[in-house]
Amino acid sequence: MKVFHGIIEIAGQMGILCGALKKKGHIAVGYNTFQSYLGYKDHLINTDMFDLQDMFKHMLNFYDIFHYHYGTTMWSQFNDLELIKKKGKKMIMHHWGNDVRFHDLARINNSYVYTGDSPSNKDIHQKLSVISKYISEAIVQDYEVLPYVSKYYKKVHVLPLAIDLRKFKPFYPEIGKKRPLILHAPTNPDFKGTSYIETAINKLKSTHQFDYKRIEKMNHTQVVELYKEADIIVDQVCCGSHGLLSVESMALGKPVIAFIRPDLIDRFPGDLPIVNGNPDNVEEKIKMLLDNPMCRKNLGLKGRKYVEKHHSRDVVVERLLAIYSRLT
Amino acid sequence: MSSLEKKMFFLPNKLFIRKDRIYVSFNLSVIPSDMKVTFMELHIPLIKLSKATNVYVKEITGGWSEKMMKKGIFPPRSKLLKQMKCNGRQDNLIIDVTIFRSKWRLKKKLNHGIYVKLKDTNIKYLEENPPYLIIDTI
Repeated sequence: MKVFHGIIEIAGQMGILCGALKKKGHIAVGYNTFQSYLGYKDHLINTDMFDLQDMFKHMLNFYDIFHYHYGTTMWSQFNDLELIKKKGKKMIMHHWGNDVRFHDLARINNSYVYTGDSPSNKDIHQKLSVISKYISEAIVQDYEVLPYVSKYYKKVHVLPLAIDLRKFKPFYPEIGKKRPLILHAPTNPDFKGTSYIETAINKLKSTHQFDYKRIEKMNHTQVVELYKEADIIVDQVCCGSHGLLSVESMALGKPVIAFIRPDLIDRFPGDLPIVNGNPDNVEEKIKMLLDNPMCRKNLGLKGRKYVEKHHSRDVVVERLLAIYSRLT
Repeated sequence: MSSLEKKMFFLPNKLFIRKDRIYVSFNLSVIPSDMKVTFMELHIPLIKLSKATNVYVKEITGGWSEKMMKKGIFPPRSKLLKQMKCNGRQDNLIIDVTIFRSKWRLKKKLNHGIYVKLKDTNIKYLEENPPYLIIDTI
């Protein structure tokens, strides 16, 4: 099978999925037109729209499946979708959250959510309406994103975030450490709730011994090196579900704090070992982890197991191949 | 199926088919600078080959475009680089093009691609089944 992925790399997922597909013997290429300081490059061709459009004719003939990401495609107005459909090739759209998070819908079950990065409701609706004229199935990463797109597609699959575990050897927290290190890496501070997290951390400084590092504007490889030293990782406390940072942190054997919306808890696997912290109680949750070194270590052990079971790229790719095999 | 994890795949950025001749080039300048290319092979799908044929490979040594080719303006070519036999049962013609790994990747202005002639063979179908490059990297 020959699989096209494009055109925006989100959290390294296009590359990880392409790598996993290649490992299974398929030809898979991720074409990325969004090059950021995060520096993703594995299994990707970092290119631009002009080069993609120049090669479109050959891509159309060559690939069997077009797996698009983030509500984007190769041509403006989604003109490529009609041509791909006419050619009888399979297509699927992978939505990641900010591309489809309708502002009002997001607030129904979550007063903390930040949707400032999402386009207007009208733009999201227009985009989804056009895309779903040609693409009948979509993928989302979890049940927080699902309701934003479910009415537009015939079928929406939930496919967990994927991780290449070979790159994440666990470094479990040391129980006897005098000054635990807390890490937080806000790619977007408003979305992640950085101000709430840092307010809590500043309060705890008067009662607890610990170090805090805020990681910003570093490439992904450097960031992962820093995670290894951490004893507690705080991911995102506003969105209502966890992100890739939580998955990577659990893979490294670290305890993680993130906000999982109460109505969504049951939609995650029952063994999810994330400490559920929101803007109102994040201080209490960090304090609990600072006070309990054994709990930090146990959560780290459970997190690693959870990620091996649910997020390993080898597990995720089998589910992806099953989705591809049933595409019409 | 065996793993293709260490391989990169490239489609042509330019392709022109005329009679039994292929003019093709690839943009390899996008390969990350910290990767080392160890092997490159050009795959040409063979769909309707009924008999054995001779294959001639040359480097294209001057600039060209598909538009110019349609007007009959063809680029200069090197002397013959490689001559091969292709039997009638192959479903793929694979040509080792590792010798171009530095030029195509690092000297964009000198990368004009290669010319392949499959003597007396109708290869018009390649317009819809493009050749592609498989690159081994470490």
